[in-house]
Amino acid sequence: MKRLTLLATAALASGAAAQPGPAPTPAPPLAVEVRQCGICHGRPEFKQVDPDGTVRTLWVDEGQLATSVHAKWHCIDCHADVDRIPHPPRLALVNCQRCHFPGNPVGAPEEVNYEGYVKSVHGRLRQAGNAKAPACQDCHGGHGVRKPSDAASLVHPLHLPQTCGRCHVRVFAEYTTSAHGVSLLEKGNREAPSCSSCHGEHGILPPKENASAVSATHIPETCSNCHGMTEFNLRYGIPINPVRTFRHTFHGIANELGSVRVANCASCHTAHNILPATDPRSTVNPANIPATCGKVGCHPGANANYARGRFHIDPSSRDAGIIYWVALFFKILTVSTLAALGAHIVLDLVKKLRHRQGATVRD
Amino acid sequence: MNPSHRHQDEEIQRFTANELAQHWVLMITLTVLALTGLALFAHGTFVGRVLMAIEGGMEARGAIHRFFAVVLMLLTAWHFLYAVFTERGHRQLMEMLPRASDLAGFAGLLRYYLGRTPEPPAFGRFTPLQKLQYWGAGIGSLMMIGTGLILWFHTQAMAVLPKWLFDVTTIVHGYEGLILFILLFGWHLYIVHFSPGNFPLQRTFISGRISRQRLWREHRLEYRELFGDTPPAADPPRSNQEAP
Repeated sequence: MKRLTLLATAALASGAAAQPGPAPTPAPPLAVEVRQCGICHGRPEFKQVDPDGTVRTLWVDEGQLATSVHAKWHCIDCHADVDRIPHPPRLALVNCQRCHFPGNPVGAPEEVNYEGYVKSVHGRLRQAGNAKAPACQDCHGGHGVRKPSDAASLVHPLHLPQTCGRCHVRVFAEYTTSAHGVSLLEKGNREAPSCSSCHGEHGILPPKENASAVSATHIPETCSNCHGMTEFNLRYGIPINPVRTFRHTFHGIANELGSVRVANCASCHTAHNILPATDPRSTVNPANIPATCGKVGCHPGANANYARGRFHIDPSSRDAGIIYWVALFFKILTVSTLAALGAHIVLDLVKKLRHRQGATVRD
Repeated sequence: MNPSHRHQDEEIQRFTANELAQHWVLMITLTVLALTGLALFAHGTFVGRVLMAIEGGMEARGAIHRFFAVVLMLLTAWHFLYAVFTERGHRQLMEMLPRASDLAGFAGLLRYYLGRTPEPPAFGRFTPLQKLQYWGAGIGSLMMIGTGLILWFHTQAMAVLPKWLFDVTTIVHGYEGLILFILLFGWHLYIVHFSPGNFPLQRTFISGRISRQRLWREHRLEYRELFGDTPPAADPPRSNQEAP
């Protein structure tokens, strides 16, 4: 129970605990071990009924804490506002930055992207006073913080969808039935993207903001992290490079130039409900193409004819059929035109310059 | 005109004001269409990026391109009416029609370039090379208008055309535009302005006039029709051309 031992100063223990002020860091020399937090918080039935009737458990699972990365720390190392026993009914949210700052002396990981979090949509909402917006412990866990690489971590790629899904319920439902979600969660394929693969970790920004990894102008780049690699695509039965072929379409060019009106990857494939075109639930299934292309602001009046034919064509590949041959014909025509006209210019130039030279000599 | 008249810097009217106006509109229109088209065709290259920035980005570029496409269509209609329904225009069109003699003219020109004959062949009002420029630009423009309309009204076109035809249209519009660009901004400009004797600027497209010396040299059959077999006086010194 040493872990859960609350150490307080003798002054506090003697009841002269009137001095206000936050607990300094590092804590002052602790003289007497007065109480054990576990006396109360170690009992599973320890709970509190809030005025509004909600029951909150106040139990701290010792086992969970013991296997967390913070096993060696004492309660008040994090709950620094506990300066007397019994402590006030509502403690402040633990401030992880007490340890996790660059150059900290206790060896806490420093790579935590606080700045990114503060600027993120989560951090901004939190600062604006939205108590539902996640703080560190909402995603990483309170007493059970584990390394992200630990399979039991809440932010381990295999658990992350569930963790994010506690708030993003609808997105979680869409994702779990998508090609990505099924591959990761059901087949355990670690190559499949979890939430953070596309959205980033601490610096998550809303898609409407240009700097977001999933904004209209950044999404092709984000998807190309995987789908830009031909051998990756082939492994999953995708015969063409979807990002490269997109880049050469009008959509792709306009997108590259910063147009947010034009279709990006997610406009047709959706953000989370991504499925192969062969799947009848897919937005790019031929049966659904008229509705997908015909979205408001895109191509109103799109009909079944839109679904006939192939998309993501690479005109420089023979697989493109007639498109390849027409492109080849025009490439040859362009080069021949250039060569023929260039040859004429050279012949004409040589003749006229010689003629002029001859005339000068004759003169 | 008096064929015996041999005033030194005499020029004769070769094109009417109407024809010159058509050429000016075409020149400006195709220049803007080429530059706004190239911005898209050469996307991802330095040239493409510079053009795109000058043209104000994707949407502005498209708006400019479509505006001048309408100008080109109006000009095409104007030219068609001119060539079919006016006497002068019709005569020009007849002169412009390709004939078997043009092939012989090509061969003769090639022999002259290679030094087999001392003189270039005698050409009429329009040389085979000029006919090639006219028909190249004309047919090219019609192709650009046709494919361009499909691309402009893509939402409607995609509802009836097969997808492959739409893709082919995109490719034809891009490459045909590039070929037209090479034809007009490379070859045509060389022949008219950059070739020795014409450099730096041949003024016919401004004045509509041509010197008798040039007419004798480049359109001898037409000269003979107008002035008979008597060659013009020597070139006036201020005219920019090479010795015959």
